[in-house]
Amino acid sequence: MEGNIEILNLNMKPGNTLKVKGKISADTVGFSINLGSSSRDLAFHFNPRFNESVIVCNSKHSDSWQTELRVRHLPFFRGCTVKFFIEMLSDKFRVKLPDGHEVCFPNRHGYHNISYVSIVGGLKIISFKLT
Amino acid sequence: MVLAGAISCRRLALRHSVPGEGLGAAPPAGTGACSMEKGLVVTQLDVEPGECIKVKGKIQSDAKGFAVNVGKDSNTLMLHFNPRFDCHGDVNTIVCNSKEDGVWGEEDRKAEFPFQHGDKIEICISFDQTEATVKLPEAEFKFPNRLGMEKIEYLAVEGDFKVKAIKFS
Repeated sequence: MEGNIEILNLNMKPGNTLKVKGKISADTVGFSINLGSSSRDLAFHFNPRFNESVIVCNSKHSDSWQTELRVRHLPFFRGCTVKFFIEMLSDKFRVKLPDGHEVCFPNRHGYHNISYVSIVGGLKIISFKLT
Repeated sequence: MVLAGAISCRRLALRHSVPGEGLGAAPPAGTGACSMEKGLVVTQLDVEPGECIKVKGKIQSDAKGFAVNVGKDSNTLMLHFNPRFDCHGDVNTIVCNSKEDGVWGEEDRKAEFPFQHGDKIEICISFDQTEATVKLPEAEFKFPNRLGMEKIEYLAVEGDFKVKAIKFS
């Protein structure tokens, strides 16, 4: 039951927070939440990997991945229901993890508006909310 | 996009349902005073019979109409649920329809109109082999599953409605 949802016309702006709640598959190697303007242009790729115990963050420009940021902090598990709060600021994205820890990633390409979100891999979406 | 005025107005005789049963949808307007702006679209969903999609949001204070579409893609809709405050000559009417291969089916209009400008509402859509059900706090509408769809992969919101949250359960 690997998810691969795409959301279009979201209209997320600096100051907005996207709240994503989902259930992590019991047998997945990982999943990603991607924010940008299309699958080829991502301001923020947030990719927890269970097989490496790491969260990989990156951006994608014209279908080319940029420099990875690796965070060795994975405070959730396969089979769990989790909530992520992804805050967009003018200069960065800030993700609040389930244990309260925060991951920040720069808004490298100066996005003012996130219209596209995809959720790929072993996270089955229960809800999403934009505030 | 088809113009509402061009659509057949024949009603479907829906049976069981609460007052205001049946969801009909009208084609998004392409012209006139009531063009429906494209809103949030969610694709590659996997919603099965018995599961529920909840769309939470706010009807704009000057809304002329809005629509929630569910189906396989934009050309293949199990249900177009289209409350019209003042749209295509309809006042306070819900129009429901289906779409197959890009062609609208027969409209189904509901007598009941439980919406007000500025309302914050939650619309809950579920389906089974025979029909789709739209639940609102004070009403329930049904519309036949004409295409015999077995899952919902596509959700789109159009018009004067601001989506705040979407839940799957």
